[in-house]
Amino acid sequence: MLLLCVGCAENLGTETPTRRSQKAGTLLRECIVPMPADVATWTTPATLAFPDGALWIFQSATLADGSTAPGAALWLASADAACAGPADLLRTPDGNLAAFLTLDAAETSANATRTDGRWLALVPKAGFSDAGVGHLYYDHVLVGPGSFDFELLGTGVCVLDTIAGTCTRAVDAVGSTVLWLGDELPIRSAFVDAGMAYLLACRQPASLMQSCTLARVVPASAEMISAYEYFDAFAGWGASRTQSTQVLDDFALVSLSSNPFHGRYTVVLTDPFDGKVSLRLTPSLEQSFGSQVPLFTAVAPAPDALFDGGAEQISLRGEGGRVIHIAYTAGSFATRELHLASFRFDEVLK
Amino acid sequence: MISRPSRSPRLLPLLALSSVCIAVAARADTGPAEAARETTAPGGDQFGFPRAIPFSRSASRDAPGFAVAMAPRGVRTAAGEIGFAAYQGHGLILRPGFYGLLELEGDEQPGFTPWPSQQIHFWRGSYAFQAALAFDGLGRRLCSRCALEFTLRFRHESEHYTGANSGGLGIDYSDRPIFGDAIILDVATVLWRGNWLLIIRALDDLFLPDRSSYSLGPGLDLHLRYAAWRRIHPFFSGYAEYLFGTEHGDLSYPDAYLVRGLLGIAVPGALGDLMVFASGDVGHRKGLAAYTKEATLGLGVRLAFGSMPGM
Repeated sequence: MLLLCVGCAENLGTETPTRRSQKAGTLLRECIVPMPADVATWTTPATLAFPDGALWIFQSATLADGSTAPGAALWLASADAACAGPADLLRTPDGNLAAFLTLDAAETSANATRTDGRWLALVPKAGFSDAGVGHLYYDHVLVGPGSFDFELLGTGVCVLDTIAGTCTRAVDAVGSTVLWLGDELPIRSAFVDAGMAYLLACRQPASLMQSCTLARVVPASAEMISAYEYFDAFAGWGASRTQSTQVLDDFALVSLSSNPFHGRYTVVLTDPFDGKVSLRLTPSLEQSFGSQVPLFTAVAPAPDALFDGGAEQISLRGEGGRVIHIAYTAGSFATRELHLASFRFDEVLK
Repeated sequence: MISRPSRSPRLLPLLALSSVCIAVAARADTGPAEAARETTAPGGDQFGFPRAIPFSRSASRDAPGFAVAMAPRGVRTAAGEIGFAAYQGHGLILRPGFYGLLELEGDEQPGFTPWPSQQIHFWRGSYAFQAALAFDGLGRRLCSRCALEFTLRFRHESEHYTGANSGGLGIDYSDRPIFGDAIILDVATVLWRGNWLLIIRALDDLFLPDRSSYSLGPGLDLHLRYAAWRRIHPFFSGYAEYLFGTEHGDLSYPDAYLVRGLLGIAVPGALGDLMVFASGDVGHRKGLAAYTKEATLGLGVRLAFGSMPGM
């Protein structure tokens, strides 16, 4: 009988490891940032961190009267204030809504004469401030004719005048505001560390794929293409953009910064599909990022929409970086809402 | 990183207690016929057998030996231990040595494969540096053919799999547990009662922090044989281990266990045994297949080197 059974195997089950979830800390709050009374909808903002608060710059806001306010902005002094709201959109000294990022007259005219159902849009993506001067990176995008149709034409940068409520778009040697063509350098996150502005540029070479590289520049020279350096794992920082090394390949919304609580550089990753927010750390930007540490899962988006944004609000941090705040948009296109999630770490991560 | 929770019992005291119990049990053998037999293992004082009490007869999948399992899946094992030297003095023999293992396992449907050669999928590779300390003086005071030995090993193991020669997409095994690096303590003794030989070994894997998916791995190993005849020795080997999973990277790994028995005959020789056996086990598979839990009956052959104490 025993011999008949030789070679028999009865499967008793299969096991799997469990992902560590919410062990890194606690989700303190996840609020929907109240819209100003005169705003009906708004887009996903780019964040500029100033020492005393965060400046959110929107591609546009649709006002209650049906008009559009391109390049509208909101000032956040704290996370509590953002959740308590509503705050007012920033206005210029003459009382008009600030329009930080707008098409120039020629672009506006070209849009008006197009007959292919497409139009040029400027989409703010990321920025930094240094010595009171803000720099905003934005995409030149051809939108339409369908709701999901868009073509990335390139990347530009503009210099903010927070008093006048404008952002002066830099031009290259031939007078173009497209400083980097196509997906040469699509900036998705920026921060300043030790006198240098570090930029995370993320390309999407294929569907559901993303490849991020690092660039840096002296803040005062951010308008000069030739001033940028790119990280090459073999040769260090150099002038060759095409030799830059992939530092991240997560298909996620990314937000890079330096966190003093951990004593590490961190990149916050937000999955655009399921809203899982995680963190990778590295002791040096010249070294590899560590494994993903799950933080929390953001509120589920509507079936027809994804998460967008995912910027960590560096200037709103609490307890020296132990409490972080992440802004993202979620919801359907018709009812897209801006969320601010606050997370407190249990301990220093290595 | 986040500190790992300690959910494994501390088994060192248990290990020490078990060694004392084993030694006391060994006093049972007082037969005059056995007293005349030699207790010193052959192998010389350099490049010889690495232990006074061999581990090669164990039912552990890590036992050092050259083996083929023909059922339930093809498993080919090339493993061995060698002692670099033997230092004697004060009733003690110290044998520093080396252990190496390469194991290839198929992932085919369970069955009987007389000559498994084409179904290699899982690989395990391991090496260890070790030192075995035999308490020969103490063993002889306990009984004429008794032996008592303590072994300390630093062991590394890695897990791999075979990809297609033609390329193509690989299989993502990135969430599978890593055995990694461990310090292994074991204490073994030999008990003779008439023609019956019993080897008892208690061991514990102390995995290095952040170097493994496990934290602790206690085990118990038995080898019982009837040694009345010169050419054939019926035997039974039993082995049980329990690996406590821990957190590594961003994963929390489950515990794993294995209870395994071999029943067969050993053909003894000057260098060791040729073992032919039926095997039975319950628990988790090894290597990258570690998440599959099953109960199996199998068949195998092993060349096990190392002389048996008192034979």
